[in-house]
Amino acid sequence: MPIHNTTERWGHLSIALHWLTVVMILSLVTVGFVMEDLPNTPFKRDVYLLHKSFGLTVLALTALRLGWRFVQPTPALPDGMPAWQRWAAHGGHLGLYGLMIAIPASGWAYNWASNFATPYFGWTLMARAGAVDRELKAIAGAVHEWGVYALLALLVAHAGAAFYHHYQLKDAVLRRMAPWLKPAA
Amino acid sequence: MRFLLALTLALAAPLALATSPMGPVRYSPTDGSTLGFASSYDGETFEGRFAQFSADIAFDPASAAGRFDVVIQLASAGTENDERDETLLGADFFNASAMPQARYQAAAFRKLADGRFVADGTLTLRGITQPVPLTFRWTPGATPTLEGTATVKRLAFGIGTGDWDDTEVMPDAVSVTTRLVLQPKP
Repeated sequence: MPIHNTTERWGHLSIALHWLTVVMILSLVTVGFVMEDLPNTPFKRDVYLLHKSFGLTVLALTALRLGWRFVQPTPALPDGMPAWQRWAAHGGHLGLYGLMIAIPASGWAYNWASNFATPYFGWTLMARAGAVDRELKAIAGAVHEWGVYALLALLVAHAGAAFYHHYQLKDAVLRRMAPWLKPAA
Repeated sequence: MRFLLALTLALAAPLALATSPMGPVRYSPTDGSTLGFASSYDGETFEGRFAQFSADIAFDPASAAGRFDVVIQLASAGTENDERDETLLGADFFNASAMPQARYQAAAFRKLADGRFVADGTLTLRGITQPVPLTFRWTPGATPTLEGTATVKRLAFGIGTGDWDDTEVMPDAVSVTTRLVLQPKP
C-alpha cells in the first residue's frame, strides 16, 4: 500500500496521520479534564507544558492533513449511500477538521491571553504577551472548553458511523482507514 | 527679664526639635513610589510589584542616621500573570492569608565610598526575621527620593520550600528594587 490515496482507499500517510491524531486527542482531552485539579506543584506546570506542546502538534498535523487532502484524491463514499448520509459524512468531517483547528488555536489564545510564553517541548515558540488580557482569556477559554464537548459528541457519531459501515453494511469504509481489520462476519 | 527668658525659649525650641531622638525629617512615600521584586522560573524571568505598602522614612545623609519602617501588604503582589500570582499568595510561598504583612525595619546605616548608603535592616516575612541590607541612593530636596536594591534569600524565609525548593529552577536570591518619592509627614 503506497503513501498516496486513491479513490478506492487511503494511503499510508493519511492513515498514519489519522491514528496519530486519534491517540493524541484522546490523551489531550483526558489530561485536559484532570490537570486543572492537580495540586499546585512544579509537576502540574510540567503537565500543562506537555498538554500545550501536544496540542500545538495536533494543530500542525491537522494543517498537514488538510493540505495533503487537498492535493490528493480521496476515497469515494460507497455507491448507493443515501443523500442524507452523504451530507452527514461531509458535515461531520468538516466539523471535526474545524474543531481540530479551533480547539488548539483557542488553547493557544488562552495561553497567550494569560501572559504565558508559548512552549513547545522545552523551546519557546513565542514570547509572552506582556500583560494579561482578561476578555480574550474568557472567550478563548470558553471556545476551548465547549469545543471539546462538541468534539466528543462528533467523535461518538464518527466512530458510530464507522462501526455501522463495518458491522451493519459490511462495506470497506472502516477497513480503508484501519487496514489491519478483517471483513466483518 | 521674663521677656528675655521667653524669647530664649522660643528660639531654642526649634533647635531642640532638630536634635530630638527623631532628628531628621520624617517622610512617607507618594503615589509614584514603587516596591518590586524579580526572579526567574525555568530560565524565564518575571517581575512583580507590591501595589500596597506604607513606609515611615527618616534619614539625614550628613550623619547617615535615621529610621526606616516599611509595612508591605503581601496580598497586593502582582506579577502580570493570574496563575502565578495565585501560587505566590498561596501556602507554599507568601501564605498571605495567614501572614498578610511583611515588615522591613532599619536603624543603623553606613555610608559607602560612592556616595550611596547601606541600611543594615531586618526583614520579617512569613513569620521569619532575617538581616537584609538595603543599598540605596538618597537624593535630597524638598521631596527626596530613595532608590534602593536588596537581595532576599527566599529559602531563608521559607518561601517556595518543599516541591518548589529546587534553586536550579527558581533561584534562592530574589532581587528587590524600590524607588520612593518622599514627602514630609504632616
